Amino acid sequence: MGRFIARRLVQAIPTLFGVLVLTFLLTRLSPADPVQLMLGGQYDITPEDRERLRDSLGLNDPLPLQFVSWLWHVIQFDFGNSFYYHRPVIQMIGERIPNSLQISISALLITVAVGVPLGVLAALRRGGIVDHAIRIFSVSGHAIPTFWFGLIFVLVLGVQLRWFPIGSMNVVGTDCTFCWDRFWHLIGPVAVISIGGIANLPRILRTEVLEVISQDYVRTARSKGLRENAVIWAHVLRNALIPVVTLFGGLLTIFVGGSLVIEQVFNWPGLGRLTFEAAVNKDYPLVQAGVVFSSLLLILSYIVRDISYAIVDPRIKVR
Amino acid sequence: MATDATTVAPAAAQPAEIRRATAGLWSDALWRLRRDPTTIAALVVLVTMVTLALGADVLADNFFKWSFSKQDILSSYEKPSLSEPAMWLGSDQLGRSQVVRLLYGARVSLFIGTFGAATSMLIGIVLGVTAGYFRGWWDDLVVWLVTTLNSIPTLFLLLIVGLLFRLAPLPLAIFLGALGWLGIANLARGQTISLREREYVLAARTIGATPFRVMSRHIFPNILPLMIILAMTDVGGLILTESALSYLGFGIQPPVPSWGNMLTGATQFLSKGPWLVYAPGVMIWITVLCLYLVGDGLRDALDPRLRGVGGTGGNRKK
Amino acid sequence: MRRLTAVLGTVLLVAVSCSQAPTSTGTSPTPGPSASDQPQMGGRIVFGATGDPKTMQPVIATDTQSSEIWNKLYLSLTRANYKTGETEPNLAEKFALSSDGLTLTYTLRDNLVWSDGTPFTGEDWKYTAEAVARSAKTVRKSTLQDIVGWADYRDGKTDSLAGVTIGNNGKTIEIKFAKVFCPATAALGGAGAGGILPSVHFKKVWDNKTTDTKTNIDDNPLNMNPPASMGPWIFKEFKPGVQVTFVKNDKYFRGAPFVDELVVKTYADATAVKNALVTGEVTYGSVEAKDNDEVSKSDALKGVRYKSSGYTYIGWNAKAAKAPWLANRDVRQALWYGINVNAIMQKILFGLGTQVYAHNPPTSWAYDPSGLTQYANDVAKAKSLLEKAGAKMGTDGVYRWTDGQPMRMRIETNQGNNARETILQFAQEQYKAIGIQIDPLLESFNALLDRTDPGTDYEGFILGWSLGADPDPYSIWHSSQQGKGQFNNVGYSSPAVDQALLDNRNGPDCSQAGRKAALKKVDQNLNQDAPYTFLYAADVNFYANKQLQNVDPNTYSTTWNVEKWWFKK
Repeated sequence: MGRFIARRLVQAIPTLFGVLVLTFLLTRLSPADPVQLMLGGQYDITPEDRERLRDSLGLNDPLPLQFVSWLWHVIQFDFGNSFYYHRPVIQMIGERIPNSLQISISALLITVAVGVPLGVLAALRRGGIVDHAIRIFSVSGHAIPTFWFGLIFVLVLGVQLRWFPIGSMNVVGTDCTFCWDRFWHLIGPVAVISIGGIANLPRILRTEVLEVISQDYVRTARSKGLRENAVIWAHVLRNALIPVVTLFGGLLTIFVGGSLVIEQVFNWPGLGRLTFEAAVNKDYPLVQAGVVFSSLLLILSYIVRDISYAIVDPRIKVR
Repeated sequence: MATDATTVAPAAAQPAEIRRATAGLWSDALWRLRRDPTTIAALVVLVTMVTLALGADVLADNFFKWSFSKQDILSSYEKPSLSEPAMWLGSDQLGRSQVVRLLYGARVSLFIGTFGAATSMLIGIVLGVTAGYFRGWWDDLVVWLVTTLNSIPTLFLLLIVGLLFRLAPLPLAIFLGALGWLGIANLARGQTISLREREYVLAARTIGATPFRVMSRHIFPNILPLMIILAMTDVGGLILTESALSYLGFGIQPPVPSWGNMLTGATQFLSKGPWLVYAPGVMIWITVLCLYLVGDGLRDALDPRLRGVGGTGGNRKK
Repeated sequence: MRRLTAVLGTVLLVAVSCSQAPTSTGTSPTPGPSASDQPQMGGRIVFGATGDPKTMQPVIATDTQSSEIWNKLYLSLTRANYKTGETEPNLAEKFALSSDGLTLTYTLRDNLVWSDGTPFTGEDWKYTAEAVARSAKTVRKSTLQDIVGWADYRDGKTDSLAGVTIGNNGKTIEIKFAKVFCPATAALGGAGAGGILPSVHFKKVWDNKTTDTKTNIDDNPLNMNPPASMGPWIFKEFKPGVQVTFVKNDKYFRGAPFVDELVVKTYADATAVKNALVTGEVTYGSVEAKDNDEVSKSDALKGVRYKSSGYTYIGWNAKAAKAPWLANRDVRQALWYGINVNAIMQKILFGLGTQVYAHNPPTSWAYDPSGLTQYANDVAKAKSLLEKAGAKMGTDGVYRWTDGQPMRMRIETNQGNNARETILQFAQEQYKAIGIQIDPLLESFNALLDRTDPGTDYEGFILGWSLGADPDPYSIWHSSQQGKGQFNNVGYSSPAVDQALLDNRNGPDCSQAGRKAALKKVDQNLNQDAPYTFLYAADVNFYANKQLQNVDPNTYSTTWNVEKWWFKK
């Protein structure tokens, strides 16, 4: 297993490289002058000084050279200073990542905790009202626009009904992470962002469970006289989980990518909102770093998914 | 749905099935489709919406007598009423007709969804099939490209683009399509790899058919049904992405209405005009829902065994 | 016995869970009226901001979020009376302008100390003024430019500002001007920056006694970590993206605040702040006109409405390369006639404001709308003015200018300000009716300021001015103020106005009557030349939590007596 993990990590390197190349190229396409953006409010700089600054930043070098130099800095975790805040970008990113992770990880847990039982339920009660209800809920939940759902949540459940907080991580004055207050504030963003996953999971799971239930070895287990519950949960789930883990890929994309809108709607100080505000302010170093780090998170999640895949499916041994 | 019909009542269906064994993929699918009320209903809704959207100009001029940009600020925030067609869904903060804007919004969203999906199909099929067929360094390059793009959350990538340009609907559609071909390419590639070892393909290759001929004559038609299903669900995903982007202010710019940008200031309207917040969101929801239902229905109709394929995970980027 | 335990247990449980319920004011509401009007200590005030501060130092701060932070810590020698705007003592107990108008003397109060115990002296004022002189990022140099020795110090010829003398052991500050500067008493209290820095601490990062113009105060760690405070609050910590926390300053010269803590909390946008106000997360703040209806219905808030000192306008860049017609006065007047400002007042501002026709707003003593043209909406007149200027109507409904080009231009404004965004879309339709095609553009506030820096690359823009109590529009309207970073970004140049601005600023008649006459001339010219389409001076719709006592906001300050605010439980 250790070798599998190591190999998987190595396989991720060309992908990460690709991400860096793409991000670099896209931002360099910008018509805006980075020196102008960087100097922002400084009005006493002469044209000669600007040229000197361009030179020192290497902006007059050929593009590949600029890329190599940027890459060299990035490897040392140096993404430069924010054009807008004039603080080291890496510091700002580091402050926000844990906040975003709280939502993503909670969302993943909730999706599995709610989606799996629903899927099994739908399979067991196949053809009945419960099954139909769950399937209707599935498809609708998958089609709902996340940002709109989040808006309705905040406006109706938060402002009008006051059932939930309207955003932020804690009530003012509280600063705890693993406490009821934080959990209370997480409900909104997590519920909204997981709705897509919670909706999709039962559909996949239902199909798989149905297939597995009709398999011979399950009938054998039943005839051997094992209790109904034990049969289902032990044998069926193990096999049905395989496509579920595959689903994680899509879920993670939604969680990390959806974080942008959700953090905006719920006033959550995370990576997504930081990147969005940076884009509004034309703060290129911060946007670059935001994209690179969100991609990094995604790549790492895919690796974790593949490892889970290997654990769950005994047939997929270390290739 | 179709699955129940075939597994619950096998005895009655069997003779018909056997008779149809030689009738070809499409008529087979149509037969199954006709027994699927959900999908038919969704299809009807979609067709209605497309018709209305296409006829937006005609409707606006003759029936509603109000253009999408026409303002009447003295009657802003009017509640929905039956007094005149243009006011069926009320008016917004500038007195524009909500129902007319929703219609035009449908046009923009459906256009971007369809055109984007078409672009995705084009890029995806070309890259996927060639990668699967030729293997070697080209395959490696395509796989690397797919994995890389798959690792950047779509909205983040679009943010960078939004930094640089404010795109009109057509370039936006192409751009979104250029980011959405991953699922199609993956599937195309996988299918091509397995197909190229089949007897009839090997036969064609031995007699010296050019790769292009092999790909277009033997491989492409076989993967097309699958691709179409995938593309349908992609349209839904694209509409969701475009709405989110326009909501954030980086997509379609006002006054051109898109369901997403109609919601941009929406948070501020909830007290003054709740109908302004619910209508566009519900429209997006229904449209995407119908697209997914039709996609699922088609997939089930074409081949129930395909049930685990295509509709899952990675393509639905919000 | 068991029943008693059960009852006691339940009571205890209820009491415990009630006291742990999260509340936004930081104090648990206890049942029963206290019925005392004695200020009660404790509590937390929360204020909503729409972004993180970029800096916490007044010399380089340009945005509102940063000002909201440093103005809690760094004060000025004088301040504007919160209601009348008149200059009144703050850190200085006396201030006097000599009869020839060339010397200004401040006398500080006794026993002034910073929050860390260091004495506050005139040295702090002089240090701040010199920091402004040498800063490369500041936008405030014009306030101090008439001080003797200013240019020499700024250019590095001397190592100190010759015209400023600190005497009497730091208790008096004497400032000499090279020419009469009428607004001196009002404008110089903050040493140009608006707030005075603790020189003892800042000297460690920048020494002002130097002729090296390459060093300055623009980049140092104290800019985000204020070391000491003269204000009612002391900076405690900054959590990026979340909030800035202050604690009360016991050494505040007006008395320590009753409330323990002040938090400036960051929200995504103004709507989120409004929601927070309604749900009680934020203690006080003002709301936009369109939300006033909703917020006024809340029974946890009490509201106050007053006029603001400033106005909103559409600026027309006479130097626009793509819109040469903007240099023509008839065209600009047509643009004013062509837009229905009355509809804006009714439907976008909901009547919560006053229409303006020139620069000095209704709150100013210089305000005098008599004789000004009101430009009532008149489409026919607008078109005739355009044609008089030489425009010819094209077949597509858009006018062609004398050079044959269609009259098509861009108007831009900042996103996040709902009123301006709506006005932009409204203007687009209005100008279509008079044959001018508008391309709207929304962008971030900073991008907007950057793009509309004096130049030729922008045409129309919607912005607002927030003005101080003393009217000195020199930096906005004088023809010399069109350089990079300066405020005359519409290319306005009028010799009559230039002279009137100098008369208002440099006298020799500094009496209110004399200045008023000069300012009236400025207003009359601006009204006729129409470099802006002046729109309105909005009212401020202020709301505060009902439990907060002694809140008395007005035009020039909402927190002038914040040390006297207390929460009635």
